[in-house]
Amino acid sequence: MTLSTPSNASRPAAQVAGRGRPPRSAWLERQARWVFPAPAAITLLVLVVFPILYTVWMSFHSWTGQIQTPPQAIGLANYTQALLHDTRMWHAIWRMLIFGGLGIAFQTILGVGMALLFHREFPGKSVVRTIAILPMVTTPVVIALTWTLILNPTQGAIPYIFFKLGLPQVLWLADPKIVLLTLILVDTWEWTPLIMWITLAGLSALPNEPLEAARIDGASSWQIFWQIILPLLRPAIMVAVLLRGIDAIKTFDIIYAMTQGGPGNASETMNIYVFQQAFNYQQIGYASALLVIFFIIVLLLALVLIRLRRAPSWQP
Amino acid sequence: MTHRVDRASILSNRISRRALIRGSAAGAALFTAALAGTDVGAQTPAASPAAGNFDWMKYKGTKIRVMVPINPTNDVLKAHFDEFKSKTGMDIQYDELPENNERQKLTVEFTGGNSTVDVFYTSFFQEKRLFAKNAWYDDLTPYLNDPSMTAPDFAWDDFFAGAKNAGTVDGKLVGVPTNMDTNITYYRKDLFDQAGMKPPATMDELEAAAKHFHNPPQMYGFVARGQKNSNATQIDPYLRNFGGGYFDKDGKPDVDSAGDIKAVEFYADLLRKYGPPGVTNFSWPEASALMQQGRVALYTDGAGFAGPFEDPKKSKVVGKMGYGIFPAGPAGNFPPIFANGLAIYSQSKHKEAAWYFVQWATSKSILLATLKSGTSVGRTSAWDTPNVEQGSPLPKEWFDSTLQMLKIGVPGLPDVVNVAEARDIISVGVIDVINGQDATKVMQGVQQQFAALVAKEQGS
Amino acid sequence: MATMTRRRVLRRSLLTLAFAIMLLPTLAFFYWLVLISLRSDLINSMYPPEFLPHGLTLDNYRTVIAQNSLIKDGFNSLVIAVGATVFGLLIGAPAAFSIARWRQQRFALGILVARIIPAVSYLIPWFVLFSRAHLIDTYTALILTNLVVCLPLITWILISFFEDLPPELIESARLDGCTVYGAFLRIALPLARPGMIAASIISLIFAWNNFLFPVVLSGSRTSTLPLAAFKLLNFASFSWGQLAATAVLITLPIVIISLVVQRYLVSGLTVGSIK
Repeated sequence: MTLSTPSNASRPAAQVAGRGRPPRSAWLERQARWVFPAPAAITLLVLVVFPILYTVWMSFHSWTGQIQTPPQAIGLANYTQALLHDTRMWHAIWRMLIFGGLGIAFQTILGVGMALLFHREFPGKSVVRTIAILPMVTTPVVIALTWTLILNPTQGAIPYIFFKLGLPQVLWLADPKIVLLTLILVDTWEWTPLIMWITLAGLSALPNEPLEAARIDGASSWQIFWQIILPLLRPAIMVAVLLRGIDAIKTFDIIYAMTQGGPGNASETMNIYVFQQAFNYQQIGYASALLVIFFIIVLLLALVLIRLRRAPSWQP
Repeated sequence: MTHRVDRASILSNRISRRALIRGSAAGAALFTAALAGTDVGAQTPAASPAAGNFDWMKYKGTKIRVMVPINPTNDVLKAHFDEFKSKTGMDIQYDELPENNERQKLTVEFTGGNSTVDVFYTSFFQEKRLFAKNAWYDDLTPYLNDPSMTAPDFAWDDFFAGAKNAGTVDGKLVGVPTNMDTNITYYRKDLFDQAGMKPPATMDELEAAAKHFHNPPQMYGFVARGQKNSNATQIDPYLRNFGGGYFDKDGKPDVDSAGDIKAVEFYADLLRKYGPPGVTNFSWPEASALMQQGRVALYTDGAGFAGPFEDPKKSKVVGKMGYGIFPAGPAGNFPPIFANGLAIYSQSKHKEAAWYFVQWATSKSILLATLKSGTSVGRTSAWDTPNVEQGSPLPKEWFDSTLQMLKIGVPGLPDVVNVAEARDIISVGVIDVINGQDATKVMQGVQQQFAALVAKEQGS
Repeated sequence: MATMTRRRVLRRSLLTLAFAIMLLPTLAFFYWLVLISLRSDLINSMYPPEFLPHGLTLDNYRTVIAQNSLIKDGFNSLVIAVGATVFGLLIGAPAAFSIARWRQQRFALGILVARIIPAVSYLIPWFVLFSRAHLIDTYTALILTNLVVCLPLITWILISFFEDLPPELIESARLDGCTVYGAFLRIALPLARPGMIAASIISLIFAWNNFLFPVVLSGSRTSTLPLAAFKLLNFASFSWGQLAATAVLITLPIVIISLVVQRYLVSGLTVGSIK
């Protein structure tokens, strides 16, 4: 399971053991790399393995939930149907990628910006920071419904303000060309604080020495930011991007509550489509195949992001 | 697909019913008597009521689990739970969730197995073929026919034939109907009176009135649902009234007939010309809200959505509302019937006790209370109650129009297994037309997808 | 000297402007939400919209509190969110430490997989598992399932904090006779404090707002606050005012927790500067 690079950890462990500690403790010391992750690994195995096996098995079957007839094995039929004939799925995948990609781009830029802004000392800092994280704290469906109300073309505040200012009417949620962007904006509003929060924590943990050294060398704040702070923050930011990215393409609540994937199918992402197949059409087998496809896509994207996280960073 | 009720039979059935009504003194009691004669549902209990020794307390101490979506019908039920508990000595575990989540929970529990659900609420028009195919429903006919199991005053014959049919699949009774919705026209009585106009009885009058009152953004002429999936139940009567429908005479899928195209064009035109902006995202909450704010003159939707208009805490149009019939089209008037009810889970461990709950929940007194609260029901005795509108927030006009629609109503939505997917297919077509695409082309595409869906179901 | 001041003024006003732009949508949104919660639905649905606070009332809050078991649901939510977060930290922090120290990249990915799996695919299998184990409608089931959300968050956030720790610190501790376990507890954990705080806040929020799992796995005993909010979204009692009031009540505890925890973040800062 572990890709153990021979690290310097094993050497001191042996030394410690050699110093005549009780053997049990020495054994524990040697096995530390297994002991530390074991509880987490076991918990997740219990929770995750059965669902994965169930979903993969079901994806080769056709079933609507019949009690008397067990799922019918149909080989790869679900996959060929989905990959070769289901244009609705491909559109949903495409929308999911746009939603995730644009959303992440907006959120990262804004989130890191806010973190840098809110990291410095100023009066009322803690209040301002708390206000800034409010969107992420609020229950998603409430966010969705409140924005729906605010954007409502016949009674909403924003369309009214547009009207008063003489701006053209924008059908935020009803125009098939705009609806996805509107949802991305709501998602950005909701989740930028997550990136901000993780980045802020990263900033607090930054070592002072390189910054001091750079300042003494007379570097401008711009240079310090690009050449020292950002590279040092890179792992924390990439984790934030990774976690948020996975969530963004899986976004369900706000899309379902605001548009249910509509108008038409204009904002139907993969997660919404899978939900329809599973719970509205009750095609449990087909929905499972879609879930496997969905899972593979997210996994591939996550791997790319992890690669990026480990890319060589700035070295002094 | 032998199970599909084809249009011809619905039509002939309807005409004969109408003839009967016309021939009679048009009394509600006679109408229902005539309907009872056309019963094709489960059999009537053979034995006389006195023969059984029915005892409400038979399952005293049993706790049953009831799973329902939150809606006005079930709220009435919930309000009477104490009555049930003292009458039967049973206890209820009541799981109520919003509609979408209830459906999700039900699916998970039933497909996962091991569910402890005994009684659940089901939308016959939406899922009865699918659930029957899945063998999720218990057959209720044996209980109904057993005088020791069914209270003498339950009176199955009191239900409309349409209601009994709705709860029946392939000759088995799978659920007892609670609420039966149909479509009516909501209109602003005060404005119509001022203008000296009558509520629209035909599609032409509907369009003329919508045009007359349209004065945006203060007042829109007309509103109806435009949202995906949701609009399918609303375009439904338009399709038939313009001579269309889902199947042709031979039972073959046909949603691109001249009538269908005309109907979708009409509906889309009405919404585009006289409707509010952004209507393709409107389901009933948005449409109802507009009506409550007094910003729309006409609205066609289910009769069951009337309640909030007469609630002074939410509505600015209390007392100003009119409740008319759904307008007739060139081909006649075929309002839809959407029946829902209570069913027993086939794997329940307390089926008999569950049946006690179901028959209590669909008894005369509960369904009368349901009707008075503003939800249309399928029991004759409820509708026949003298001055039924007394103690109800809704005026007599609502009761009259709704009953009139129920009388001539036909089952709404196509009678297929996967109604949800059919709804999505049709509703997306409607949206495309509202967004300005050519109706003929769009409906041809809809026809292709719909035919493929039906073919897939017949193939499996 | 004068240019310095002018630059400083310019800088300050730019900063203020940036603040305003960042915070304006949020302030407007919550102003609107609170306003809706304090007004009758008649006013809430007026056109043109009423932007100023007129006719305020606490009716919505009263109705919502009287009609629902918000206190019980709130307690359930708290137990589940705190339980999942504490449990997540207990098993996630050592895992993160191990991944950072011994570069267990595959294990890191394995943990992430739990988060990558679309939530829908968990529902039926979990129902099967937990109903067989008679754990439906128990805290155990809800805390455990929330770990699928919380544990990957906690672990991944902490990995980068442990990675940032200078290895010499651990080594020197161990030369002083500490075991790996001792070094983890006494050196690594305190130094990763900002990360722990960020991770626990984020984990709390996700567990608090999780809605999908309770729909399937909870019942009347363990029903949570978001479920209560959802129950308002129905025809019979649909009310903007009550929905907003519930939203405010749900959000409030998390805001308070965030404020309290932030104070710790400041002390985390000082710990960081000691090194």
